[in-house]
Amino acid sequence: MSLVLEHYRATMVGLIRTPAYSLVTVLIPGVVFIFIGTSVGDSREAANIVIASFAIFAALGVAFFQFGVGIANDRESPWEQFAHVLPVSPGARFAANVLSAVSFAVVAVGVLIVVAIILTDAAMPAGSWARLLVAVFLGAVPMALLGIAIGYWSPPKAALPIANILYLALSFGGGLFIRPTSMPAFLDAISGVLPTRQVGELAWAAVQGQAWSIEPWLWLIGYSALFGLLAAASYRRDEGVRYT
Amino acid sequence: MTGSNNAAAQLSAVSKAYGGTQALDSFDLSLNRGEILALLGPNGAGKTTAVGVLTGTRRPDAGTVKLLDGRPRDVAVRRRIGLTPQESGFPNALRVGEIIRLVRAHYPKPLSDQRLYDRFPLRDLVGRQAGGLSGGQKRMLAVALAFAGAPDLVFLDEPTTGLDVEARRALWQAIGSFRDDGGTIVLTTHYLEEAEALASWVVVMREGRTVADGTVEEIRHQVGQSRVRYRGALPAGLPGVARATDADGWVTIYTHDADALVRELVGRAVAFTELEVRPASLEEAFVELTRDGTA
Repeated sequence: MSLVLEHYRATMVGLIRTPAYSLVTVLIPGVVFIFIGTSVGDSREAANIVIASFAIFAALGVAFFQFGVGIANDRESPWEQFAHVLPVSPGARFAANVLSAVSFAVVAVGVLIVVAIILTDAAMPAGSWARLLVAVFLGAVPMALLGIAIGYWSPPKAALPIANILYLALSFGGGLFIRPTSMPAFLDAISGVLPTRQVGELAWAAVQGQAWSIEPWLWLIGYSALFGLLAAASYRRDEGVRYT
Repeated sequence: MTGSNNAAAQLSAVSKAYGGTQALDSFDLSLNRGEILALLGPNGAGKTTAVGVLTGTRRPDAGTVKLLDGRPRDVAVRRRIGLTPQESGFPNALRVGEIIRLVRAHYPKPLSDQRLYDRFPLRDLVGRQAGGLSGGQKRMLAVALAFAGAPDLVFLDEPTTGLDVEARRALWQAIGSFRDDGGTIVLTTHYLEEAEALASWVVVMREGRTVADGTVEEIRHQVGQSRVRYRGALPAGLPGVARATDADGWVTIYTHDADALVRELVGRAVAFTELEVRPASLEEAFVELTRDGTA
């Protein structure tokens, strides 16, 4: 357990001292919200919905960049190869990575919420905030698994553009920038099967005080299983290439 | 030389191929506690693969691996070994002290600050970020990390590559005091001088096999223990010649019996000047043993 904390500490210190990563990750959702979110939020309900969308956008960014791009970079790093032979279980190091990703996601979502509360009429009962956070963080699980798959599968230099494209496509397609109700029918049809849309449905229901329906959860469980298998396969493939 | 309960590491008939290349070919290696083993060989000889198999980063295709009282991937075994990465790439944003702290946290009884900094000149660098270190400073840190956990067995892959003479001496001294405390070391190196200075046992590898093993002294003997050099011509049919070259007017002969050779040269009235006789260096033995088409 203390090793998890030591690795967590080292990872966090390293990332925090890399402002190109840490500041961008933490601030981008809030900044994009200032430009896009504030103009959409002409009513309290609309503002709440935009907060929900951007909270997903923030968590998705951490999941893709910290896991996807981070892992891809680590694969080439001699330091990681050295860490691989230290007496520590892979599980402990993975736990440290998850902890640091959650830490960054909490700060990024926190910044977004503060910005949103200051600049818009957004307000909701504590129960809705809690349900929103549950939806966002559980919804980040399949995204992080997809990020891991990208990280182990793609060549390090390709990971960043791949993550960027998927990040924007899934955010846009999932209805995080344009409400699905404003989408043309064909786009809405595609959107309906994307993992981000499922998280959106849960988050939007949360902030509007509506009950959760079961379908988005089933979709997310299915996506978690699929991306989990992909992540495991890509991890084994990478192990096979490097540690044989 | 091997009492099995005294063995720190053992490879038995280990083979490992990459694609079409046989990196290790039924390779045997045995290392006793308290020994400093130097693995020598040209690039591609299989040194790094041998160390990789011993440390558990490479899985052998065939053969068995024993490390301390267990197998390389056992966490209990790993707590007793120290390693240095071949490339000294560190997380740029971490400070030297933070990196040392992280690595030491993995070991039950790591070296104290006092002991670590007495052996490795890193005290003034503790607050520096790794990204700002010079190549030599990074290498020094990398080697220090192999010892930081106070392990029983240390693997050093090219430990002094890129170090200046002073830093290399400091490192050799640190390795020497580890040995004096009963530590065991496996060392790969290109610097034969390093093997000569440190190693109690040398294994010369070529194409995944051992071409020679023994003490530094014994390796030297295998090629001819003496080097005779003079300005002049190289006569044919000299006795006891291991190898002879004739270049730019200088003749260089490796021989097992320099006295007999010189008597022969004199007896044949060979017109030599600037005659020089000295023991062959390990470097010369090494070149001889790893030459294509020999051994």
